[in-house]
Amino acid sequence: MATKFQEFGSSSKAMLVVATVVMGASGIVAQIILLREFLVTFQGNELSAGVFFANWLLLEFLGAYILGRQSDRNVYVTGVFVALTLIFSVSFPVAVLQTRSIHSFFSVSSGQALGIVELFISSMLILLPVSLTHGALFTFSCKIFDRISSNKTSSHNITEVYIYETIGAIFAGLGLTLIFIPLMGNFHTAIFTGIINSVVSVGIIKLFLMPESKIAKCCYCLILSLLVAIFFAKPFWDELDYRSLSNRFESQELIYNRSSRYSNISVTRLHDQLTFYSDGLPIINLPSPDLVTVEERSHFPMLFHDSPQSVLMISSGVGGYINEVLKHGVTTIDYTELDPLTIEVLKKYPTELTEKEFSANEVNIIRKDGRAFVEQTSSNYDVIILGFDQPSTLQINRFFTKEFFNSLKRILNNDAIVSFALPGSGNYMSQELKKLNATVIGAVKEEFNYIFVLPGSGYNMVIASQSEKMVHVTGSDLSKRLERRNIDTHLLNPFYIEYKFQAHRTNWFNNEMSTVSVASNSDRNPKAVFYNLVYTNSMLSEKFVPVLEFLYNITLKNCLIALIIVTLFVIVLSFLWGRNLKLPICFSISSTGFSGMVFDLIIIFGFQIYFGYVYQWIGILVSFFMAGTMIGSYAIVKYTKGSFNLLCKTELAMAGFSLFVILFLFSSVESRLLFLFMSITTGVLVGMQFSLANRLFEQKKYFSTGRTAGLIYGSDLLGGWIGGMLAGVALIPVIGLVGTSFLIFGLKLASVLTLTLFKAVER
Amino acid sequence: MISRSRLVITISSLVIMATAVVSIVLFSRYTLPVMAEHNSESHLTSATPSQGPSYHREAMFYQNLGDGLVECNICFRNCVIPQGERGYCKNKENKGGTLYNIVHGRPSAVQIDPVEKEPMYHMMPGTQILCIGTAGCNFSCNHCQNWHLSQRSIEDLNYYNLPPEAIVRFALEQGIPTISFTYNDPISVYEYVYDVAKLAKENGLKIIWHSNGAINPEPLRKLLQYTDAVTIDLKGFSQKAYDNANAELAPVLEALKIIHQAGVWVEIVNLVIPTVNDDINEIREMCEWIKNNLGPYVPVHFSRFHPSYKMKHLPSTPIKTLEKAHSIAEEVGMHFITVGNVPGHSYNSTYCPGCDEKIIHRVHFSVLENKIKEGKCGYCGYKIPGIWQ
Repeated sequence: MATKFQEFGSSSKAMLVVATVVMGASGIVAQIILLREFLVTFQGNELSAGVFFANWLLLEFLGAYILGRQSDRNVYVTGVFVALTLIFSVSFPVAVLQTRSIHSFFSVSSGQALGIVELFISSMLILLPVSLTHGALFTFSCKIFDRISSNKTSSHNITEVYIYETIGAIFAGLGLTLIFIPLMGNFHTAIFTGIINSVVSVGIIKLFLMPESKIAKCCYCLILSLLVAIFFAKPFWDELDYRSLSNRFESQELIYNRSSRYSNISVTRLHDQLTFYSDGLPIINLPSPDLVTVEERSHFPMLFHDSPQSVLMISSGVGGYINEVLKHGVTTIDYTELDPLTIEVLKKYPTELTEKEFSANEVNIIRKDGRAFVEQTSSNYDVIILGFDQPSTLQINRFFTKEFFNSLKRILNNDAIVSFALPGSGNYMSQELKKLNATVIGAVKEEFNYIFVLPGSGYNMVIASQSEKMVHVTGSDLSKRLERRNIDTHLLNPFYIEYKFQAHRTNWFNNEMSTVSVASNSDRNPKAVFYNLVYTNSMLSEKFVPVLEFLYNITLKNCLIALIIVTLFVIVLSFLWGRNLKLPICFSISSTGFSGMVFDLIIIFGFQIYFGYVYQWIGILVSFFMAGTMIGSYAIVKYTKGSFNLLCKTELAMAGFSLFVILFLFSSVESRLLFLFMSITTGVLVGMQFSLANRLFEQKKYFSTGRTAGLIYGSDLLGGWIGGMLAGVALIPVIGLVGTSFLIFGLKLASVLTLTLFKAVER
Repeated sequence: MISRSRLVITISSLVIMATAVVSIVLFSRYTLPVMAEHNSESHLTSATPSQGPSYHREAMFYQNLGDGLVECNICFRNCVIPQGERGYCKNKENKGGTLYNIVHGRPSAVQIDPVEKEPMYHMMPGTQILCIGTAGCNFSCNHCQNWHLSQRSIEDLNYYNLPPEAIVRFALEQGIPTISFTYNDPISVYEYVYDVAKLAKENGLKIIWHSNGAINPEPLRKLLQYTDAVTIDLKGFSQKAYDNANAELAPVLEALKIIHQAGVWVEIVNLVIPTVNDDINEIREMCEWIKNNLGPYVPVHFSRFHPSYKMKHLPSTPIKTLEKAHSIAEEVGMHFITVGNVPGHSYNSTYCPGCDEKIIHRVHFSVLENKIKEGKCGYCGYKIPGIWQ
């Protein structure tokens, strides 16, 4: 067969390179789009994303290793590659539609939340054809490269495929979030990806298969005709897109749907009411918002201040809150909102209330990450109102940490008030709720001298100040201020204020909170994310709570003990499996995949802490990581012959790098360049190890190209899968950033010891 | 043979590993006391496992079916419970062929609220009630606001040890005239409600309970002897609405008739949830049924839904829908219709059917003005049914 491939010229090679780049691009496109769709359907948080990534990577691993190894035995490698590409092209847009119909699949109404079990089952089923084929495509393309480039070694070819795939992923990752998703929407981007993949298939059929196969000619014509038909059927796709989206909003009229780089925004109409959804959850109802929430969260902090003039509102401003704050006769309201699309959509569908808020001279709308604004602003404020409901993600948790509360102190005027809400209950505080409240309140207490909590149904309001005046404010003072400022409200009146301030209510809350003792929420130990995860899962997936309880008990010591057990297990298995380096190398690559994924998360999260949530920078950080992998793997292929010692040195380098990360986390260096350096260094080390592992497998003649590619790629994915699952859900929130970096340090040392041991004893 | 470079790598790895172990020990001892804090905690949801369920109060209304099986006959489910198992509500356990109420005297929520919060608008407006809630429920509403109580077992929750005497004593000491069983469904903790109610009546206190109403006739009649007023959550008027609670409509309607016939004051709450029970025809049918079976004087409260528990994807109820429901009830001939969870709405108040004057000015659950005098409209003297003393 090899001679057959050698007949093909440079155009064939170019076509194959294009196909590999497209494959890499398509993988990242499918991953991002389907993740976004799943997060909308499942009220996304780190756990949902973790389960999604886990299933994605697991299926890719199975595709690369199990399906992929067929490439060694199959004579029709190119034909199978084309078939897999076509299956991917069709299954990806279908998966988008299926994700929007998951509620129907489980026979529940679209308004009902689904739990983690449903997420696991549905993501496994929906991703099956997409991820499995994408994983197999990697191995098959390695095999095709191997056959057409017989003058190069198989490890060289695997690395080449890895590099092309990475190039595709970098371009798609940036282009998708910046151009395609905002312009075309998820479904149309999926169709477009399918079309590009089909065009690639046509090219491959024409160059590789057509000269000798009639079936190939028929396929060529058929796919071309279908592509033309798909292109002209745009109205049909528009309708399908609309109907599938409408599925999520049973009995409501969907009047707007668009994705920004931050979130998916939808607007529905039900009678005269417009509901604005962000990632599938209703955030604003107009013209009549939830008055209890709006009035309590705006007026209480404003009334705690004797004479508020300047106000900062971070998130949740338009849609009633600004209107209420304006009633206090303030001179300035600075309102920060991260996603410009939210503002754009609220302006597109105006109501009397929102128009009033937008047109008020006192209001400055700042399209910026709130935390970055707090770090950079030179303004000072009398009242700061944080509009987030709960620390549901690592990103939002940045507004509930002691470091953030500390940074607020810089921009407060004398007697200023800071206010925010936490999930609560007016009648019973479960352990989950208590811990969630305690960790955040603990963080505020470390930074502010005076704290007051107003417990309530649905949420507790936390009021903090540096001024002693706040503790002397009574309910009756608030009523007097309400009257003095001549404020017209729907809910707040002296009776209601008295009810909220009843001593037995606050005493009950304080007594309940005194029964728990937890660490304060901080940037480096984001406990609140974990407690929030337990709280939301106790609501939706009660049976999953024991698993989280188990994870909650992990400590760095437990993790290191687990690591020793895993290492011993690998050593025993390696002794049983031929006493050679096969398994130690795979273990090394898995640990690299794990470390790469965890470092990525630590770097992105760390960047957000220092510089705020800046989407472009996250894209750049990921691109630097990927560019690093490309450089690392290319350097090995180009400049070295690859050796066992080099692999060990890179392992030690990664261990050393984790110590560097720890030092960095303890330092207060704030440099963007340093983050870019860390991203690219992680990438270089990962890329080098990937190529070295392939090179060693080849030198040792363990397996054929297909099996080697599948095994090494699969090991990398497997490590990444475990890293993705554990880091976001448990490691970072429970043992913290520093503890997690220490774990990687231990992991890489364990890996290098295993390698060295088996090098010494190998047969 | 191990080459020199391999030896160097091995030795350096061991040195680094040893350094790491020392660092970790120092690190965890001095710089990360926060991490060590986990060790002292073994539970995320701390129950009181040392005490376990309580077996001192035998359940009422159950049959022994033989072979260790018992059938609980308190609610429409009539759970057949094998030995060692519990019923749907999680509060009744078969221990050796005897059925026990395992949450008796163990409320998890004890609060003092205004009576309007139930809602209960025609009973001593502006007074306080002692609210009691426990674990468990015989429904599983996807929108339950008290899911952290109702959808949990006693082992999952913290609770107070409050036997009936302690509850009554507490209410008397605090000067609270009414005890209310609310939050979770009182049906699932029937024996506790019954014992408290009986004792409360002996001590001159009033008893109300807020329920889904899916209780069997016999236990209902027995409990009504010691009950002053009941708020029933009518979750809609179709099986679809009741599917959302994994329950049935028919037993609720039957219970409503019995309460009315017994002369116990009853008010009805209908939480209007978009897509679940907001069909206008369904609301009309419901109002007609109420008028025909319970009469036009039963207060009906249409409440605005806001996303909660498992139904966080739904929008809040449009005000128009609530106003439409109000006008339908009016057309049907109901006299006391209010709209809830919309503070400041004029339909939050009570109007006199005789002169259309506002007789109770209510904002959310604050009573700003009460024009009812001795059970009559302060403007025209129209008799307003309810419990006013």
